[in-house]
Amino acid sequence: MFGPFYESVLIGAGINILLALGLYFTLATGQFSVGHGGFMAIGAYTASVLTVNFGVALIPAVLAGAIAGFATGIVIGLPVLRFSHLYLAMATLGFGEMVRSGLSTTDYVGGVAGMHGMTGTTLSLVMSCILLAVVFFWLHARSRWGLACDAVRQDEAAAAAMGINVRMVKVMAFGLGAGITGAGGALYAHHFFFIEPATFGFAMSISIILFVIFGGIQSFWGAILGAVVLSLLPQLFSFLEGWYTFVYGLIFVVLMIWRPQGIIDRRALVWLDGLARRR
Amino acid sequence: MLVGSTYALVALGFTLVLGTLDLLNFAHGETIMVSAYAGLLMTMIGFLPFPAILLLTMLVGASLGGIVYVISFRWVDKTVWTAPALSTVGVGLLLQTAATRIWGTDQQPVPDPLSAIRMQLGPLTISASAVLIILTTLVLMAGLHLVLKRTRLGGAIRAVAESFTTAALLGIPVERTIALTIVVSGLLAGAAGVLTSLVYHTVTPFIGLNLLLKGMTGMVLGGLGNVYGAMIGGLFVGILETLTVSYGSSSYQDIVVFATLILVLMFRPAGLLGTQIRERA
Amino acid sequence: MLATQGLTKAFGGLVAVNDLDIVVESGVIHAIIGPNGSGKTTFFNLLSGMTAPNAGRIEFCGRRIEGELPHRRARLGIRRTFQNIRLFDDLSVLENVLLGQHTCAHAGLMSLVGRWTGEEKRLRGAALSLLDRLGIAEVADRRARDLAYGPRRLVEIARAMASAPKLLLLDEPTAGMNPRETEEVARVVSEIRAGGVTVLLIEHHMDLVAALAERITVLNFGVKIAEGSPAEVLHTAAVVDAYLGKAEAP
Repeated sequence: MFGPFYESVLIGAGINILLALGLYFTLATGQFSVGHGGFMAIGAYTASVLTVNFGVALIPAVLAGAIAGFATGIVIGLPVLRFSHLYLAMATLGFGEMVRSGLSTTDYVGGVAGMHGMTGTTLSLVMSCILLAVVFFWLHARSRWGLACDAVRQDEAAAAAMGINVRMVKVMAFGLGAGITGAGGALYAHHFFFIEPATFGFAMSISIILFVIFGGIQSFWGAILGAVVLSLLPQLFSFLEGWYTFVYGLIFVVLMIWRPQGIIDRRALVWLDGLARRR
Repeated sequence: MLVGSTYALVALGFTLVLGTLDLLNFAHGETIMVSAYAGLLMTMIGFLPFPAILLLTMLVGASLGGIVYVISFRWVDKTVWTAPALSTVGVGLLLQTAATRIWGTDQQPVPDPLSAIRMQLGPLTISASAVLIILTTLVLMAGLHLVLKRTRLGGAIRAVAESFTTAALLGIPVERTIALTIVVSGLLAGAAGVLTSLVYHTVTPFIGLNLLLKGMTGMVLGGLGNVYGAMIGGLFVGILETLTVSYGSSSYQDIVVFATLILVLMFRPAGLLGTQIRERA
Repeated sequence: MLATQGLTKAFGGLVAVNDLDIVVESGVIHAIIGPNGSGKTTFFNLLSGMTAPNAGRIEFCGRRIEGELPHRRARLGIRRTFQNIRLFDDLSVLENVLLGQHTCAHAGLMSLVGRWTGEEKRLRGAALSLLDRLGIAEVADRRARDLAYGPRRLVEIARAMASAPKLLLLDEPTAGMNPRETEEVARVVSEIRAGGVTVLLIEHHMDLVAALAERITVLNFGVKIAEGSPAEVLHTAAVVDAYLGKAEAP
């Protein structure tokens, strides 16, 4: 349908949408993760090992990547989410770097040099995954589960007084978000043919954060908007090659001063005719 | 030991801000990195004695701290609780890209002012610069301790760390204390920059994140917000690293430290010495 | 219905609740009174699970609950309001009340499609009629943070009642209210009690306490200094002393 170049750009944007949605789910319960690159890496490497070393088909491999991400998220989340948000931020920062470091020293997956040979991501596959995710989030926003997540975000103690198992809500959201990010990682690997541990480091984690906070932290549409805009912008500004990181840093700083809640906030949602809000 | 004492300094600066403001200063690592380059520049100029370089670099760190305060705290709407921390991420990125543009991505060698002098201490041969590093670290730690315990500013910092509102009610200029806390943290970062570059004999623009994490680990080991814990924690991290390199391999040293960070956070977040930080519900 | 034995809570050097033995009978309005700082809210926090005791037992309907997490106690039928009204401000009034029903509904994976089931419609209806009984049905779709103080308190009570609790802890429900609003809350509390719910009430409005409470426990410095019917308690020298500090009894 599109020329191969544009298709690649769209696939890239689509993958970023998935990554952003994964982080968003964690944010929806008031948690902040600074190491989602780690979950992306786990998903990417799991799927890659399966397809390259064991000949598994792509879709099951992506699923496996998602499950690996989910499981890791639960393992990390369960103990850490008992405590305040600071701890999760630090733990995820450490986690992200540890995954990167660990993969660099693991020869089975190629160590620092990485893995190659992964193919198969198509635009329709990416779009299907996004569709699934959007349907999920749309239903979630309208459900009691979504209501409970929002309550947890606003006031954990009051939520507990309602009978909400706050810890489970946070851990589930964290795990599922990590799973979605893992799926994104798997798709990433099979689109870019080649992955190395450095791809999934701190820079990737904060890129994902930027997608979400830029677009708007109060709704999953914000994550989608942020991912799309920040994926497509570099195409327009390709002359800024090499200064991307600087621009990202600038966006972080300026955004926090001017509009910390992101572009799409509650008022914007109301203005957008409440399509994405609970009745 | 050497490395440990620099980690202790890093942890100290980071803990100060965290304990007082509940703020994760992600720019701390890059502040150290930039200060290290500043120190290097001054050393290359040639005629400044080491103490002067140290002091000037600390001032560089302090000014960066001031910038972080203004950009990431003063001007930021703090009702979005993640905003200041995220802003510091941005500042860190800016500093790192700027450093990469100016100095390139290669390692820069750092000349050692006292490398020729060595001393015998029983079976150990110690270079004078090693002694210098440890001494400086100890002096700074003692200095911080004195400031916190004996000066008005120190008292103000400790009060603000307990509670903004109570401190304000007591007539303490909270905003100014916060600014000064970040600046002091910058002073420590500046010193850490110089000392780190001496320990490793090189600087690159990428040491920031790694130092931040090592400092964080030290801080967590010692207990969040616990200044003295941070000192000990930092030393411990250094020892842990050295042990890993001796008994394992140097490529595992980072993993071991990061794993320690995560494990401590998962299972014993109060650290080894107990935390003094306010727990948000 | 509820009994505590030797309940103690200290914060550092300050003992907020000291060796409390209190029994709350089923189906009554039992007031907890005492000067500021006497440990009343800490007592509620211990009951609802927000704080863990240093010592002592709490028995609810024959079950030991002092080790249970807050959400488990809520599931057992203990609900509360807070001294400083903790509504979910970003949500609507109706959504707040729906959250109160959390334990009566499916709220996990099932709830993704549950919204359109008959069960869910019934629950919504119940929530709306609850708001109606409290006279605030017309604000059901407004943001909780946009309401005035009086209605906010009523919403909080509605939310606490939404799951038909066995025990309701009301922490100073009329704090900061004018006489008309206070009347309103008194009426509501009466009706709640008439519906068979046991109410534990922290209050400072003595006329309200005298009119509503069937039993009163007086705390001072975390210690029980008097207990009994309003007539017995309200004129005891010790109680008057605690409030007024060695002034003359009326």
